[in-house]
Amino acid sequence: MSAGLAVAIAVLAFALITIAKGVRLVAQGEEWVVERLGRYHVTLRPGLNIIIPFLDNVAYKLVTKDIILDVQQQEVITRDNAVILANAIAFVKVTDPVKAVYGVTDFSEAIRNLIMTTLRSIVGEMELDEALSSRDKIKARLRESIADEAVDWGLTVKSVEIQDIKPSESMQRAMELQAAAERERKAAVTKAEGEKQAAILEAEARLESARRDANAQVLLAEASSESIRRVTSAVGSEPGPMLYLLGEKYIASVEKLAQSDNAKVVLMPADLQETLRGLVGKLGGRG
Amino acid sequence: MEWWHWVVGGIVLILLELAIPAFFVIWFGLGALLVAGVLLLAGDLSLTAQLLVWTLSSLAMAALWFGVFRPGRQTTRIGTATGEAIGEVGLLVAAVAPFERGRVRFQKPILGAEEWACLAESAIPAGERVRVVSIEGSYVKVARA
Repeated sequence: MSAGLAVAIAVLAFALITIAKGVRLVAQGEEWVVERLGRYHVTLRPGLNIIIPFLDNVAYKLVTKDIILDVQQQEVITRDNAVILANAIAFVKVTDPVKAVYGVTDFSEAIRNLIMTTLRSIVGEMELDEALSSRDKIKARLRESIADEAVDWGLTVKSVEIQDIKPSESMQRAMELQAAAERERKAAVTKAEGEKQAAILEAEARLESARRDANAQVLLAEASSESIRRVTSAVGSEPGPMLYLLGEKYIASVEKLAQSDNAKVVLMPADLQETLRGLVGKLGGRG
Repeated sequence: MEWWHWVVGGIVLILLELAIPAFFVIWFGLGALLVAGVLLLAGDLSLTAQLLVWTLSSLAMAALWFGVFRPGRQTTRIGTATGEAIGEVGLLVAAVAPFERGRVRFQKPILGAEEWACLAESAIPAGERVRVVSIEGSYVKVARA
C-alpha cells in the first residue's frame, strides 16, 4: 500500500466519522443538552443540528412532551386517624431543559416523591369524610404546593389528578359495620314506632266502643222508660188489662219452667187472680 | 477499482441513508456516483486519486448543503420546552411588581390552566394586556404587550 493511498483512506475515515458525529438530527418533542469540555454549552432544538464532535458531547436527551407521572399508591393518615389509600397521576412538562438535568439528579423521581409527600400532608389536615369528598380541593392545593420546587427544576406541573382515594381494608370493614349498625338502629326504631302506634290505635278503639256501649245502654233505658210510660198511659186506672197482660206473662213463664229438664214439679198458685191482684195492688199502691 | 464498483457503492450508501437518518451518508453516495462518472469519462485513475476525489467531492457537497440549509422557522412549536406559550397575550388580573407576584388570565388555557401566577421585571397595574416572555416552572414571566 502506497503512502498516498493510506493517507487518502485516513482522510476519508476522518471525514466520515467527523460528519457522522457532528450532524445531529433531533426529533420533534425532544431536546438535547450539549456539553463542551464538561460544561453546559447549548441545547439542541428539533431539526438538523451541527456540533463539533471532539469538543462537544451530547450529555442528556430530554423529552419535552408532557410526561405522565404515575404516583404510586400510598397509605395516608387523615386528621381523625383513619387510614386511606391514595394514588395520583401528574402531567409534567420540562420547560427548562438545563435546570431539569442540572438542577436535580432525576426530575421524574423527584417530582413524584414531592407529590407523594405533599399529598400526605394535605390529606393529613383533612377529616376522613372531607378527604373522600373533596378531590378538587386536594388537586388545587397539591398544584400550589409543588409550584415552588418546580421552578428550580425547570418543570411545569400542568395538572395533578387524584386517581383513586379509598379507605384501607380494615377501615372499609369498619365503615360497612357502621352503616349496617345504623340501618339496624333505624329498623328497630321503625318497629317500635309501629308498635306504639298500634297500641294507641287499639286503646282508642276500646274507648270508642265503650263510649258507644254506654250510649246504647242509655238509649235502651230511655226506650224502656218510654215504653213503660206508654203502657201506663194506655192502661190508665183500669186494673183489668194490666192483670190480663201480667197473667199471660205469668202463665208463659210457668210454662217455660215446666218445659225445662230439671224441674218437673210445678206449683201453681191456687188463686191466680188474687196473686196477680196482690202484685198489681202493690204496684198500684206505690204509683 | 472499476467504475461500476463506485456506482454500486454509491447506491448502497444512498439507500443506507434511509436506514440511518443522519443526512450525511447521501452526500458520500452521490460522491461515489460522481467518481464513477469521472472514471467513465477520464479513464483510469489511481485508487488514491479516486479516494481523494470521492472524499473531496462528498465534503464539498455536504458543506454546500449545510451552507444552503438554514434551520428555518419552526412550523410548530408543540412539544418544545418553552415554545408553545411564549408570546401568548393575556390580561393581568392582579397587579405585578418586581417583588410581588401577580395573576394573569389567558383567553384559552395555556400549559393546562387559564390563570397563572406571574412575575415581571417592572410594575404593571391590573387590567393591562401582557405578553408571556418565559416560563419559570409554575410561574410565567410577563411584559407589557
